[in-house]
Amino acid sequence: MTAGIVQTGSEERPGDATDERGEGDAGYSQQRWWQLLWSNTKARVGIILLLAFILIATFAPLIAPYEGTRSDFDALLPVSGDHLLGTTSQGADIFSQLVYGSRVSLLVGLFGGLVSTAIALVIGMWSGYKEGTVIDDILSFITNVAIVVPVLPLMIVLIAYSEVRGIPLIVFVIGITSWAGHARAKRSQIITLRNRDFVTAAKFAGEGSGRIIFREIMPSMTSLVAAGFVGASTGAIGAEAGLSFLGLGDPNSISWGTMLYQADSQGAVGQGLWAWVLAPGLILALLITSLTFINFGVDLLSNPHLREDS
Amino acid sequence: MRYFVRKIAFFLATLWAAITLNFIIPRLQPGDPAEVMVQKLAGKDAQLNPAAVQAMRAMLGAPDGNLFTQYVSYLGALAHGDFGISYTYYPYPVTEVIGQALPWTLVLVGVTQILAFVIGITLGAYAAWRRNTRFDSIVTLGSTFIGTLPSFWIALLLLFVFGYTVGWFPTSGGYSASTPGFNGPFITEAVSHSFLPALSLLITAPIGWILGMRNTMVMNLGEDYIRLAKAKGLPDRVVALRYAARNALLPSVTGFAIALGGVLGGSILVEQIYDYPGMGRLMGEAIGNRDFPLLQTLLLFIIVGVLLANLVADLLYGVLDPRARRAQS
Amino acid sequence: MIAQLNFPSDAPATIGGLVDYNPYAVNAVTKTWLYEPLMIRNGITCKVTPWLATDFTWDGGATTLDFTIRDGVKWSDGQAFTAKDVAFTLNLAKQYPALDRAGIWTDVFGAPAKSVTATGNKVRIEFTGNAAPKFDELIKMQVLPEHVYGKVGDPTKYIDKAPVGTGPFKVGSYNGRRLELVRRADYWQADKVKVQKLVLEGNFEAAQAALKLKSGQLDAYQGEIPNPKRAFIDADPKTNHLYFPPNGMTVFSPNVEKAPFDDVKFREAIAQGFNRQEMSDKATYGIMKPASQTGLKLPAAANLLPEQYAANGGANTVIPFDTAKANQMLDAAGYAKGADGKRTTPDGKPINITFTVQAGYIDYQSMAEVIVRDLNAMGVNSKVLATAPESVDAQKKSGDYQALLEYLHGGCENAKNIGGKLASNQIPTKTAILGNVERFRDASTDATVKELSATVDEAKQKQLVGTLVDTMMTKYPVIPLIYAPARIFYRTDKAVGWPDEANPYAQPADDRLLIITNLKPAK
Repeated sequence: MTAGIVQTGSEERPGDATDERGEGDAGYSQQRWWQLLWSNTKARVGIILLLAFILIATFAPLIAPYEGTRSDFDALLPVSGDHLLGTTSQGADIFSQLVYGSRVSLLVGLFGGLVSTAIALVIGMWSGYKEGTVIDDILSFITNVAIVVPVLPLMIVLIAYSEVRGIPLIVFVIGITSWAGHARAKRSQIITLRNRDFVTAAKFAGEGSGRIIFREIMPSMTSLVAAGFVGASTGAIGAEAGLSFLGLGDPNSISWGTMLYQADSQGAVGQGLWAWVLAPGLILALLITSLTFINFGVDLLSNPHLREDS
Repeated sequence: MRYFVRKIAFFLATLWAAITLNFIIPRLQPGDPAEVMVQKLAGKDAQLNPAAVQAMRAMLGAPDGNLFTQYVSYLGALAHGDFGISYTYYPYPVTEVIGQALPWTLVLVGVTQILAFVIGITLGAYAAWRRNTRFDSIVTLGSTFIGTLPSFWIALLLLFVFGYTVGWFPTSGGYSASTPGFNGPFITEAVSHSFLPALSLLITAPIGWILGMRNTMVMNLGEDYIRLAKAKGLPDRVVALRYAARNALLPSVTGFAIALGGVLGGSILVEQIYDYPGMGRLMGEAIGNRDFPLLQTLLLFIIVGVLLANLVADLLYGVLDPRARRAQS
Repeated sequence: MIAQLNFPSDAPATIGGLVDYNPYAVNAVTKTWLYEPLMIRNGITCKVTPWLATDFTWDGGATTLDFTIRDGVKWSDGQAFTAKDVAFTLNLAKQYPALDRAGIWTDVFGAPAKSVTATGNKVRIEFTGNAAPKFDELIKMQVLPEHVYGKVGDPTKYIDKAPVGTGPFKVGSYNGRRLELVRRADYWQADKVKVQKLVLEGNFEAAQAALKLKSGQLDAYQGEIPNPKRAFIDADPKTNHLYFPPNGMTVFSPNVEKAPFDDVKFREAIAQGFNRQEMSDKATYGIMKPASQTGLKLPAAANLLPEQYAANGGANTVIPFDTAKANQMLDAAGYAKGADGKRTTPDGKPINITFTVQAGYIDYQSMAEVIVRDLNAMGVNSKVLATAPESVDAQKKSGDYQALLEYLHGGCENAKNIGGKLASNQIPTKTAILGNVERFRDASTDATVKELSATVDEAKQKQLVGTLVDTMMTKYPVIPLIYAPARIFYRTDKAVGWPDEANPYAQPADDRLLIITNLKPAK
């Protein structure tokens, strides 16, 4: 398991009171929820950190002294001006690998988060909107199954059977395995919103269910969708690192998980090559921290109890 | 009663879904395990001996019949407890192979899960009770940060420090010279070999409980009955333990199964690092050898294990909290 | 006497408690020390050492093979080992194809057998046609005791918990992880076995193996250790040794059915531009030397070189790194450089090479980096695609690739090694990976390989191998890069007499029985 999964996991814990949030919150969060977010210190730190990561990933070729996939230096060079963190036993520059690795993590975080959030939205909202019908029963059953099935073993098995490895596969597998918690949260939220006046009005106006769900109800839940997305991204980043660490990652690009996989399989731990082991894990933790901090802010938005508290 | 029937029905339906999933996944992308096995046995820089591949194919066999008949015979075999024969450990049946690994993971994950629960609940409750103090912010911030550390990375660091640098603990395996069984030397060895893997999991595992418990309890502390209890002049400790913590504890029980899935996932990675002879390492091995019967059965066992834990937690919750029974039926 | 030696576990996987000594089981607890083969052929020197069989003779057409079986050998339960046990084992492989690792009864490499009979101390195998290429695998068949395996039904499904073998050791104890083997005093060449106890324990990854070796917890290790000098030798150069004789070579394997690799001139030109020394440094820390374009592992196989290449022991057949020459040859062959410095085919099409490499094969990946850089330096636009080994296998089968790395085995049957790389009947099929991954087709080469595989006459073999070597040197079907080793790391504090350059009596990774019968106590 990776840290990210802890985060997503904690979200559907009853202690988080997902059921309580939503009511009465929607109208508030519709306005300036991002301002509220910015006013929270933790969230602000998180956003700044995340922006830094995005900048690093975008301008990786300018920041990294060498290409991340380049490995034509001498092996195991010590830390020096030329190689800020030394080189690996294959002669790759560790610092450059770190910089380029941010691209994979952010990509997987973005797209993995999007896919998972999209599935969660469609299934959760549809199921909640049709509460009490057969559709809801079926979708809720699927959701509950997906919640109890342990995610990482399932992802491992799915990827192990695929012949073509790569980021799209990872995004796909993460997307289809880790949506359930959010779907359940969305379902309970929409149930509280379903009988509001503006929904009823839309129904009388003869609008279709799909339109009502996604055009009328969803916009009033922006902060909740955002929270789901941040959580899903965090989970996706952690999952990618874990899968890559098992050697199931994208073989054509360098990611932090892949770096750790190589360090482990090349015996970096036994040989005491600490920079190689330490750096990717720390930087990964930093990225996940930034997202967790943002999620803190988002949680405050959607959970008035916590807001009073802080 | 209806609550319990519902929960058991859900368990059975999920079980069926898991079994079916397990049937479908391997058939999406079938590979040739015989070739992989022979290559693996020979090593990377070795000529593949076609005769050996042919012999291996004859040994492992191939499924025949259409998908539906395969599915029916698969279900029939499962009903008889026949999960197939492992490719790697041929001719041992996968159940026997898993039987060897299961106790290791069961103990590792079981102990860490229970410790994590106790530690997490205690810290979370205390942090909520002392909320907005320094203790609270250290616990919340600290666990938020530690929670972001990947457990496999923690495992690597612990291995580096305590395994290689100071050398207090063995770096691989589950035991060495002793004979497995209920005897002193074996238990001592098993404990010292399991210590670092368990610690690796235990550092991150309580975090979910800490934060969950803290949040629920903070919410509970705002409830009227707590204010009432305080107003009645009950001692703080009684209010905290009897009222707030106990009520906050109940919902945490149902999170047990989901958290268990997480710890199990973590143990897969950690077992790889420490070469710990449990289900996780077996899974890594099964992936490498394309040992599909083993991989499939491992996934099934893991899912069923979590489902069972989930069922027990649900039933327990139903017994402990009558409101849940009423609310859901 | 050496009191005890420690080796890693023989079994590829060790989940404790699953005991099986059946040598034909995938995960046998040990495959080496209990059951023995007929003969052992050293893959480096190609010398045959008699073992359970003392002698063999082929008839002229290589259709009948006679073995003389050693007298005085006893199974570990005291019963006498006879020629009948040998015939039993080989016939068992007919009844249960899963046992037939040598392909005795199939048409894989040579004609199938039609009968195996034992008379006295002789075993005669009659084949339906020429079966010379089966020899190497056939002599490796481990002989099973008829009085045990004759009663167990399907031997591949038999879990052997009480092994009865002819080997130098018997099981002392096994705790699911640690196997202790004890020397047999009644072993047929017990005088040569100086090791009292053998302990086999653990499957180690490279770093752990290096540590165990350094600390003396392991006496030998036959796997890979990155940077072996730094990780092991330098710690104590007097005690710590390695022996990495070339066992084959890593070759650049283009798909010769696709442009531009379908052009001999193009292949010849790029062969000049590869920096093989850098590949050696990157992939093997300089231990394995650049390989000869002949496809023969030199110097061990230098005696097979045809005259025109034999100078300096074949040293001139290792193509030196010369980008300028490569560029010149590419220019001459019509692969003109465009304004962007990238070459096009003679008919003006752009060249884009995707070089496929197995992700996780770290030495291959290091070599791939160098290859692609060298190709780009020659103006051949290239990039590396690292992908899962299984999908590389799939590409080898489908032919849907441009170039990749392949292993060219340097064993003793050149009809299978170089021959297997060049014969058109060895092109991979949809279901099986065979040797000729590059898909080279040439009718006269096919005839040569066929003739070579059928002959047991050494002079004739040398002449035919010479023809194949010439094909390698002039047609460049594959481009050898660096040698690939058979590995052993060992310590000389307890035992001496390990194989090395001076005394290469055993292929160090495979011929463990040869090694154990040569070890002597250190002084």
